[in-house]
Amino acid sequence: MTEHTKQFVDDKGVETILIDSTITGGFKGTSQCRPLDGSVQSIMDDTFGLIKETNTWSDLSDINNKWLKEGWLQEQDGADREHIKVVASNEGFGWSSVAVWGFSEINGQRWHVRKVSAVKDGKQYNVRAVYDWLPTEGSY
Amino acid sequence: MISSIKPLYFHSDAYFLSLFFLFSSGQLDSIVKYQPATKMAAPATKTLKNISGNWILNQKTSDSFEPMLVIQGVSWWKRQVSNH
Repeated sequence: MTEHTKQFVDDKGVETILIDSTITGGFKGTSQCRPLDGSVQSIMDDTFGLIKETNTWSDLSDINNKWLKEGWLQEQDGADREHIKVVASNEGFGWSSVAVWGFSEINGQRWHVRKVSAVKDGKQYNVRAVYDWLPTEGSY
Repeated sequence: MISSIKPLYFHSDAYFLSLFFLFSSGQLDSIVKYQPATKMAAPATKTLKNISGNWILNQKTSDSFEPMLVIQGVSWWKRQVSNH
């Protein structure tokens, strides 16, 4: 699944990240629109159903989860823009999640990482996702 | 052989000969040969200030999403798609 990402300021002045996913072979997958203004988005997602989601900048001070806080690289751009925090929940399925985006050092190199911690029925599920940068896409 | 009518061209020696010529001379390389994507660590210029570009999940270094997707109610079919 390749994520085609665009970061821009929309016509209301809100910084936004737009992600179009394509599955291997070029089939169009889902689209995500993430305004980074902390507004609550109600989204009918193909995969996750009806979810509520907020996207904000974070300096990790607003995060209590120890696992989410650790393992990040110090960035050049100042603490206020180092991380993106995504809080999501699905009332129907009874789960909520907090995700932190940033960059980590793995095997001596800098990688884009998204750590997600989801809770359901008091049980916590942690996933660290590591992303490759694609300077060129596959072509024929 | 070629003396017969046009629709039979696809069965003719000339058709196979021309295909053979196109392949062997490298004329079709740009169509047939797949150039795989280049995957690498994040360059220093890529920060959350501008994350624009193409990213792909690294299956080797990432944790499995499976247990989390199960509790999030994602169906088996959708979970298979998310692996590709």
